[in-house]
Amino acid sequence: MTGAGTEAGAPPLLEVEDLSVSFNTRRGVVRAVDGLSYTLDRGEALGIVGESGSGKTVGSLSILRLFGLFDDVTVTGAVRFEGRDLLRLSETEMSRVRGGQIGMIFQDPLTSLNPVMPVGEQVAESLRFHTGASRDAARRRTVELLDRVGIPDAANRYHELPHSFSGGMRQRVMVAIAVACEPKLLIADEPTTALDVTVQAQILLLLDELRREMGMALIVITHDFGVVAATADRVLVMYAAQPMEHCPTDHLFQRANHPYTEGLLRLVPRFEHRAHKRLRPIEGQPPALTEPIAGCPFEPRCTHAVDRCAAERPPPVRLGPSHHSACWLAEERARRETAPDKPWEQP
Amino acid sequence: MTGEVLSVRDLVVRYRSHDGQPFTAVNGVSLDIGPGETFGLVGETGCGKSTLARAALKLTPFQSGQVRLLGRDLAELDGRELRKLRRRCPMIFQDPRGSLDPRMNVGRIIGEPLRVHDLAGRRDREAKVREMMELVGLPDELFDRRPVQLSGGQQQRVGIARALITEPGLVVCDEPVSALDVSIRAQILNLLADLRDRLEVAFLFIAHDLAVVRHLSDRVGVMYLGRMVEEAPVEDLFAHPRHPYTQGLVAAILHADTGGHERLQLVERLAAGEIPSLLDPPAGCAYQTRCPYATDDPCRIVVPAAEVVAGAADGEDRSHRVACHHWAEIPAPATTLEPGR
Ligand SMILES: Nc1ncnc2c1ncn2[C@@H]1O[C@H](COP(=O)(O)OP(=O)(O)OP(=O)(O)O)[C@@H](O)[C@H]1O
Ligand SMILES: Nc1ncnc2c1ncn2[C@@H]1O[C@H](COP(=O)(O)OP(=O)(O)OP(=O)(O)O)[C@@H](O)[C@H]1O
Ligand code: SF4
Ligand SMILES: [Mg+2]
Ligand SMILES: [Mg+2]
Repeated sequence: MTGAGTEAGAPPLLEVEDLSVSFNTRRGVVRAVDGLSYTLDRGEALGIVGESGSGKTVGSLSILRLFGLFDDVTVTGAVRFEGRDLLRLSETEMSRVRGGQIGMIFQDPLTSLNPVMPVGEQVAESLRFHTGASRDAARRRTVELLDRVGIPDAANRYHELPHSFSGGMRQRVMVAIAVACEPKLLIADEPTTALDVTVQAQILLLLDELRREMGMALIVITHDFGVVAATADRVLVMYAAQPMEHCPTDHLFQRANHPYTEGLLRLVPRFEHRAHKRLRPIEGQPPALTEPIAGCPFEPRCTHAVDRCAAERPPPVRLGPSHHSACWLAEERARRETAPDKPWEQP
Repeated sequence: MTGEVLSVRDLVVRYRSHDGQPFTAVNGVSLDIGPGETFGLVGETGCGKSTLARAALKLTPFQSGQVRLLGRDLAELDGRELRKLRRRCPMIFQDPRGSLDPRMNVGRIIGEPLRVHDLAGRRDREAKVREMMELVGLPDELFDRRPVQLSGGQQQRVGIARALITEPGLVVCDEPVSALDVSIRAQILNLLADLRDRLEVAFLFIAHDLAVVRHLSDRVGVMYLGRMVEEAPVEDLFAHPRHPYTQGLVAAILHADTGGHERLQLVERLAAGEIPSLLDPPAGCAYQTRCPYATDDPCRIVVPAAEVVAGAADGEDRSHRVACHHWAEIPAPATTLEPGR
């Protein structure tokens, strides 16, 4: 799915090409990411959605080469950031990119702050490491940042420990750390999942504003289509480690092409539904990632599958600018006369 | 109210914080649930939803107020009568696995309430368990499995089957789908909707996801910082939210359409800042620290009482109630809520 959203000529900010990640475990080889490709321009926002275990987190952590100490992991493909392949950098070079040019908000934010270090120090430390700022300068900038992300009375709260902050405020601190060095790319893994709805809206608005102010690109990983609609220009749908569909966000809701995307859209109770409307679950379970998958990974659950689907893996089919769907029926489905403008409303 | 399954009046529950400071977690809440009705309770974390539900079953003691459950005043019951009443009011919890005994098999777990309360002999029990398994869509061959051998959705079905086996009058569901993945969540929501339609059971359904609450509930109550700030029939609440906080909540439901940015800005305006601490609650209206319409007098002095929204009443007690000094003057927000199709 390369080329999506790229202006001819200018190299994109991020280019992920045929990225595959597998873990060698006692239970066998787990293919956590399988053939992921996408590009991202400066200032652009990409949403990554999919069920639990579909590879959203691993796919994004491998951009930063963040793996567990004891993981026996194999990564293939290329991750080009401003033309440099991050997979080939030395560990020292990589540690400059992490938190410097690429910021990250982790899936479990409430535990990723150091509980015994004052909140302000945690932001200042990252600043000093990446910008070489003096202690005083880092402190001043930290207070500005905490203020910017909406921590009231930032100068005084600088010295407090994380436990005296509410969940929403800790998440703001995580945002402050992630954007402290004005990264060109921010990866936010489920940035609002643990938060209440009004606080979620505040954090999403903050991310959106920071993105506009600093021109940073954003990858938002979520299972919530509402979050995608509110933050992303384009969206990538993953299933069983593979990219299924990649399209502009408005296409997702108007003309989703892939049967899996359609299925996902029908799963969620939504406001566009009338109350008490029946949901239509996708029958069956996702495949085990330890077993080789010859065809389309969604084939066993797909109600549209044809013979070919089980035998051969469908390549991404280009359906328009920035719209790709990895389905053997993609073109046929795109031509549907009665293309529903609300796929979840289908009978 | 007579004939109500649950009727709560001016309930107050106090706790002590870990350093011994007393605080009020539920502050003068009233609510009624009729037979077969599903009451949705929403509000942000820590606002007292679970405490209210537990106090309604007297699993948590309350300091004042009155609770009538299945026609009985809890204050008049002794321990034995209370336990007998509670078995007709089971709970379903957020974490399906954590609420199932890992050493028992599925059949035993589901039949346990019958055994504990001595409601059926062994043979009847097994027949009843299999009947419940069928009702909640658990294949018969899972009877001998242990919880770890089940998927998350199957585990939650076991919890639901166990809750329903005593032919309850009221089922309390505390965030029953929050911990489940989207595809499993859809199955469980459908199951709960089916059960709501098929059985004559009332549900108290607690959730923080408003779209989920709307999907299942007949009436919805909105709590904020220990108080019930608004209560109305489901479509009325979502189409015409009156309390500024409810308006913020409804606006914060992210739609799968465009206009996300404007929506976020609207929430920011209606619900700015952080939720205050229960240990140091604001004077007057609980919402005054975040409310764009708050005035010094009366909002910061007087606690607003629940008022019936004129014109919204479509029968005896099916009214729309709101606790806000300024509700009548507050403009309807442009939350772009198209009526459901
Ligand atoms: N360190 C690891 N060792 C082995 N397998 C792993 C490891 N990390 C992840 N996996 C597996 O890789 C697959 C993808 O995991 P990943 O965390 O990327 O999913 P996800 O899409 O982020 O899911 P969620 O929505 O639950 O966060 C899963 O099957 C997971 O079990
Ligand atoms: N046993 C207890 N002792 C002391 N404080 C408690 C106890 N149980 C709950 N609390 C506190 O009372 C308040 C209300 O808690 P409750 O669990 O009812 O909230 P909730 O609305 O259910 O929140 P959530 O959505 O997070 O489940 C919270 O501040 C909580 O920390
Ligand atoms: S009573 Fe006042 S502060 Fe409270 S919600 Fe109404 S307008 Fe806002
Ligand atoms: Mg993840
Ligand atoms: Mg609770």
